Amino acid sequence: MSDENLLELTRRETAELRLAEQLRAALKQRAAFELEVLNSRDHAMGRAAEIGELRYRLVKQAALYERRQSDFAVHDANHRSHIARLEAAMSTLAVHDANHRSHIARLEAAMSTHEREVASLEREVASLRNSTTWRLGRLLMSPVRAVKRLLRRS
Amino acid sequence: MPRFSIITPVYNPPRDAFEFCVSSVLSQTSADWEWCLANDASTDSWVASRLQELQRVDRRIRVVDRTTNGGIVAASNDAIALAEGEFLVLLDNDDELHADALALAAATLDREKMADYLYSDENKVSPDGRHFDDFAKPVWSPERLLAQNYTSHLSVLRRSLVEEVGRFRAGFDGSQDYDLVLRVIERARTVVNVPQVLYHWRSLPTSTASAASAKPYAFTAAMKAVREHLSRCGVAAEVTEAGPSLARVRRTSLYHPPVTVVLPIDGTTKRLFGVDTSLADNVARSLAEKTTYNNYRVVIVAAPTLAEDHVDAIASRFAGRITMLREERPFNLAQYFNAGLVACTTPLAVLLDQTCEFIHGDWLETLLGYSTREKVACVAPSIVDEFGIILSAGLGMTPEPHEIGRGRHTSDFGPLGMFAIARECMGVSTRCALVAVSTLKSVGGFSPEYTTRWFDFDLMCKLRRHGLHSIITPLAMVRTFDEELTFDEEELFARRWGRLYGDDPYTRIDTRLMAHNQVSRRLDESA
Repeated sequence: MSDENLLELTRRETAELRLAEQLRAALKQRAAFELEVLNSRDHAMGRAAEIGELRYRLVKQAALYERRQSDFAVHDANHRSHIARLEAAMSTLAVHDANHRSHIARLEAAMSTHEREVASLEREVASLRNSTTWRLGRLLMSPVRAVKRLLRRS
Repeated sequence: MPRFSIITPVYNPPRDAFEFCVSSVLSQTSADWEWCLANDASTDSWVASRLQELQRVDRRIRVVDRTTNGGIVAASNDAIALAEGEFLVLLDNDDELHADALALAAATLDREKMADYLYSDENKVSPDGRHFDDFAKPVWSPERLLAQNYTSHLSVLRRSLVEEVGRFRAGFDGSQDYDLVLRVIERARTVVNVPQVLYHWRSLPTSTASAASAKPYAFTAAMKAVREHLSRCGVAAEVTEAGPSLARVRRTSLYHPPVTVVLPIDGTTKRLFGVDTSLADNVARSLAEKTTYNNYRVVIVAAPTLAEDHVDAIASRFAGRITMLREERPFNLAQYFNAGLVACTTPLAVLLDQTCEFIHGDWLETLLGYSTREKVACVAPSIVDEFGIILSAGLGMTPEPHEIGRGRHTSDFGPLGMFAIARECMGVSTRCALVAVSTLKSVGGFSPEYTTRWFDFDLMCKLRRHGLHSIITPLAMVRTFDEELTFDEEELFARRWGRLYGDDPYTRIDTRLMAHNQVSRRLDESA
């Protein structure tokens, strides 16, 4: 083999070695890229899952709040109707109260009339007892009353 | 034409039970049904007269009287011959339907227009009317169906398809409905389930509802039905008994695809069976010496803490089939698995934890048997500790993330036999798991945000988001020396997937709460 051929062969072998080295480096780089793609994909899926989870919790929470809100609305309506019922009852009671008061006033007026009648009758009785006729009659009847007392004692 | 035709073969049922059955049909909230009954020459005199009376009372009830007793298959087929409905509803003569059974089935079928087969949850009803043993069934799980007839009751099948497959077949008495379902699903476009109890299975001393051993011939017929189903589907497999009413299907494939085993290692040593052992050495030895499958490569991802000569010693076990990756980052299982996945050159990979060692030599062949199933991302063996206690028989999310079967002995069949059979589940532990590389890459591999095994649960949820699931099989078992399960990173997990707590379509019951399972109880009773 001539020196030229030998040189060419050496050059080729060197180039081949360099290419092999480059290929190894490229393959290593490719593996690194693939790994990066894998990790990126996992990262994306992980974040998507987290978003999904947050959305799920949000929807669940929203549903919970909606349910609570509707519960509150029902409570509120119940309370309002209860208040309305109480107010109606109160106005009924006020009417009752007024009726009672006027009834009391009427009774009081009747009572004072009766009291006045009693006073005038009492006065009539007193003047009757102070009359000469009454006293004379009482004197005439005193022996009868004494006999009656004696009989009662025996 | 009514939508539902209820099919009931009748042969000397207990009178009370039959009246309950009648009443459950007549009180359906949906009126869109007809009831086709076949009296299989009952010898009890009241049966024929009662059936005639029913036929007179309600025009939707139709009865055929057989002159000779032909058995349940012949009687059921005679009842089907009367049917005009779009769907057939199978009802035994001593069982009951839930009052809303047909209404709920109709609502589901309205939603799922392509559904050809529908099944629901079921429970049992004692002779005194007490309901018990609710069976919350998983979503459509074809692998589980091969191991046990879990769909059973209530079954609603499209009539045209039943006619197409030739109705019930003779020779499968006791499991004739299982055989029919297996033939129907071969052609069904969609199978759906109603996750509500729509069927009450009467538990009488003579019925299979009370004990699997009540009708031993039924299980023989069931295994025959599975064998024939697999044969029709072109699947070479061996079907054996795994327990009471439980079958094991071991596929024997001639196809041996190349597989890459990804094995992250560091210099951890642990006292194993009284000897200080390097976990990396142990798993490498086990992999090299135990594995009978030949077409595999190994990608070892070595931590910077591992000495060069140690790495070389491990690599020498796999000469000619190894790629060694020296990591510069500190040991992190998720990151190392990802690096290994990137280096995979095969469509299938096995993720292997250095804490494992193999029990069965054919573990890889067994896992590969399930790899071609549709929508399956991972296949894993049962993971046990050195005392034969299960550490993971799949991952579950009901009511919270947990490893199914953890703490049970391998001899425990589990609730409804679920630890003894291959079945679909939401996820599996990747201590040892066969995965489809492209699928795993498409979901971003493992999340490096986790430093503990919570990345398994995270992966499970990512796969579920893509409509994928996993298969766990007890046919292969792997021993692990890592029994730790930390809960430190649950907060991070819950931040991502908290909404999935309690929402596991494959395990709808909290298996941890069941001290003894039904199958074990049956065994105890029969002992």
